[in-house]
Amino acid sequence: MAIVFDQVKKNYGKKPVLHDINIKIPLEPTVIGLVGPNGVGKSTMLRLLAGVLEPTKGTIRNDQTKGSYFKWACLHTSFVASGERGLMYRLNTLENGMYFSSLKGISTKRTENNIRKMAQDFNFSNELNTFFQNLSTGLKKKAAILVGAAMGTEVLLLDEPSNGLDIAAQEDLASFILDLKNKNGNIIFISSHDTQMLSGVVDHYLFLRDGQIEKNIEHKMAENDLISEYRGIYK
Amino acid sequence: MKKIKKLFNIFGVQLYLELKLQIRYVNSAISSLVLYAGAFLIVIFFTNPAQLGQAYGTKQGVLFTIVGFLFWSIGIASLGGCSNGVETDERTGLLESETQSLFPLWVLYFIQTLAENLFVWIYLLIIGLVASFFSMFTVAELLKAILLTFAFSLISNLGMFGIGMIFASGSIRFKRMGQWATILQALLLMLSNVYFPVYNAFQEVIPYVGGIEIVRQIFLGHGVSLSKLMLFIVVNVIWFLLGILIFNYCIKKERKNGSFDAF
Repeated sequence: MAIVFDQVKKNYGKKPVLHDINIKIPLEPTVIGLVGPNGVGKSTMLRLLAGVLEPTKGTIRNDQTKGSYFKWACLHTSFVASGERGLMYRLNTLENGMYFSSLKGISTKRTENNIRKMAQDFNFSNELNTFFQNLSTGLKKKAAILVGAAMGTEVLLLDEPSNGLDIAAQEDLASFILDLKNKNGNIIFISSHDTQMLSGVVDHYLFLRDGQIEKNIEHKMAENDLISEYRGIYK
Repeated sequence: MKKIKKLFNIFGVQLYLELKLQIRYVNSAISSLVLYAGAFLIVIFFTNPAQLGQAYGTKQGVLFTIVGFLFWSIGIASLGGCSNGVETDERTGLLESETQSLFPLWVLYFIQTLAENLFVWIYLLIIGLVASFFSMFTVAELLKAILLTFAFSLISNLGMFGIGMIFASGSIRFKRMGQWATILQALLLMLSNVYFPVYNAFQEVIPYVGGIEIVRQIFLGHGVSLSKLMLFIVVNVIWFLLGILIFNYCIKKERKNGSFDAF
């Protein structure tokens, strides 16, 4: 099974953001890193994968399903936005999980159990009942990632997940992502500038430049190699 | 069948979370109650309920004003609930996650509005009970008015929700629309038949106007006119469908050409 981008073009109004995107991404346990300077279309790519946005031209499809990609993506992907956004401010993490799982038609009880279990691995158990608005920037990020991951969808889309995290939390995040891939068999897409985190978890890199996929590297890279690859592409 | 169960589950979760928020933010709940009470006092003291009663040939002017006030209050709660809800969700980044729901966005906002309205009914019941304590009318009459308004507002809220969806569409296209929705809510109070009988046929396009007239006629013992009921239903179904159509169009356009991000 794979997600196929066929001649995908995405504009924001008249401004082109992505164009000529042709790629087949196998749906197997992997961590895929979207890399590139600000404004190259990394977040847009994640939103397209989540079905939140539609291509302006071209198509995205799952090669094993006949229906629309949007319908498939609603059920099989979870998108975690960048920044301190995406959860209800006056609710705690468990309540947010309850709300979003009900919207996806997933058992709220199962989501709660997932959140409690994952919170232990993510050093978040003590904050589960804290309202989202009262969490620090880093903890807000952790809460949003937990809620997204607890939905139990095959694909998890994380937009700049390590922003705002301290060193210990970045290490927690890296091992959390690896657990999702290795234990749960998830496919995780990460958009990030954090070379340390990326080199620790990513198996497959997509380097974006001027709205296109400039380079597709299907293996792990040490941090120094990643940095020199980055400098080589964006010099 | 499974989908309907999931829909009821969303309603149950919305109701549960709304209840938690009402208890958790009791100050906010009290301020909402005070706002509705203030609007009620303005309607009672700055209008002429006796004159309204005269126009209908009854001494029940205050109760007839209350009926109008109830329809308007619950109607603006539906209108404001969805238009403000969409605007807030877009600003806080919730809208893009909600787009990933099993159901269309308008269904989610409709369920959310239904859950929120139940709490508005509690505020209105409290205000009505306090008013009946001051002997403006009996508790039995009040309960009858509330029950009838509740039943017919199930129809009028469809239309008010539809208008709210049009404002929500504006929020997606032009971003901040909340103040325009507030202005409309005040205008509706002045232009509808809350404290006057219907004096112009054009008033019938306001979703709850027909409902107020029907409930007042029931109180007068005239029963329900089939033609008035049909007009009332048609007006509301049109607003409801129009609102959903415009909202779905704007969401589709935003997904195709926008980002949900640039608020």
